[in-house]
Amino acid sequence: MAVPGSPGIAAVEAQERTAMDEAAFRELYTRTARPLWGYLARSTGSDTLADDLLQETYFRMVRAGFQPEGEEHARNYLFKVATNLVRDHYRSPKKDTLPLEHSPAVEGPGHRVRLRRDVQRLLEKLKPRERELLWLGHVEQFSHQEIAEILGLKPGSIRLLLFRARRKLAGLLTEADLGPEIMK
Amino acid sequence: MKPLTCHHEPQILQNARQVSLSAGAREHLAVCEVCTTALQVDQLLFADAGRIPSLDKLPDPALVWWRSRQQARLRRAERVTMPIQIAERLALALGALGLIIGLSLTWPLLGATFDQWVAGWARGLSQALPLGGSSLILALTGSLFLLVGFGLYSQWAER
Repeated sequence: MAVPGSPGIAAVEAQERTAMDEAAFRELYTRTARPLWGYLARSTGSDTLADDLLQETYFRMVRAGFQPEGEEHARNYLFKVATNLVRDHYRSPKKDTLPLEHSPAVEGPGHRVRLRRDVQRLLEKLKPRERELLWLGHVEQFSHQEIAEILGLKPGSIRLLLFRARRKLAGLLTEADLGPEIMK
Repeated sequence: MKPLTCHHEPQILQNARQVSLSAGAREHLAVCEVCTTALQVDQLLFADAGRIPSLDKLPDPALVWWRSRQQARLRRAERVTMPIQIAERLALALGALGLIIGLSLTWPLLGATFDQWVAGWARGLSQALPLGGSSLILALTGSLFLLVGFGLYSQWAER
């Protein structure tokens, strides 16, 4: 007998049957993990934290029994969950961001590491929302409507916010005398 | 008022990402601040995005999948057993309430019986053991501490 208010064993089994299988998950992970990691790493400023939040994003997706209705749907959903996780992280009193110098993912020739650090330092001077906006708009090339949905903002405000964030970053680039150098 | 966007911007960014900029685009960039800023930021972020580690350096999908499934099962089990847990807590609360009401109603009778029992027990103990009143209190306090200690230890061990 099903307990009132509980989903019941039949409902749980039905959810289990319709949930994503491992092959579909792997496929989705292969397509989405890198951009999602990049977004998380640049939003939080920590590669280690990005690893943790990346896993948590997929945990939440599987836990919720999410069924993607196409590439865009899955991408929007994952970036939205990731954004919420970053917000939760900033809200929580215990923050464990590592300085970039200790981050294991920073490898390669000296000048590339220096360049990466310069970029990181510049991005750190932006507000988390500005970093998110710029990354979603420029790297992931989401539309203003999609950015608004992911960040929980009004679609009409994205144009102005994006403009301000760009201008701020461009100003920081000029201040740091990194404009032409960084693009080599 | 300065414009926030320029209709050339998507085309210029697209060109810059794929091929080199045309002469016309360069001419436009020389006079358009919006496009110059957008291109500067776009190139910086794109260069940075190129340094994202490859998939094999990210968490293993098999492990993420396995842990996700474990968490999903745990969550579902919690959801299924939640009514039982609520019923258990409700029963405990009702039992405690019943006990308090029962004790308060029967207290005159129970109190008298308890007094008699304590007096008899203390008399018997003082006859059996040559202890004073203070020693009895000390022994009772010690026993109480032992009981509390044992309770705390059981909780710690369980955790």
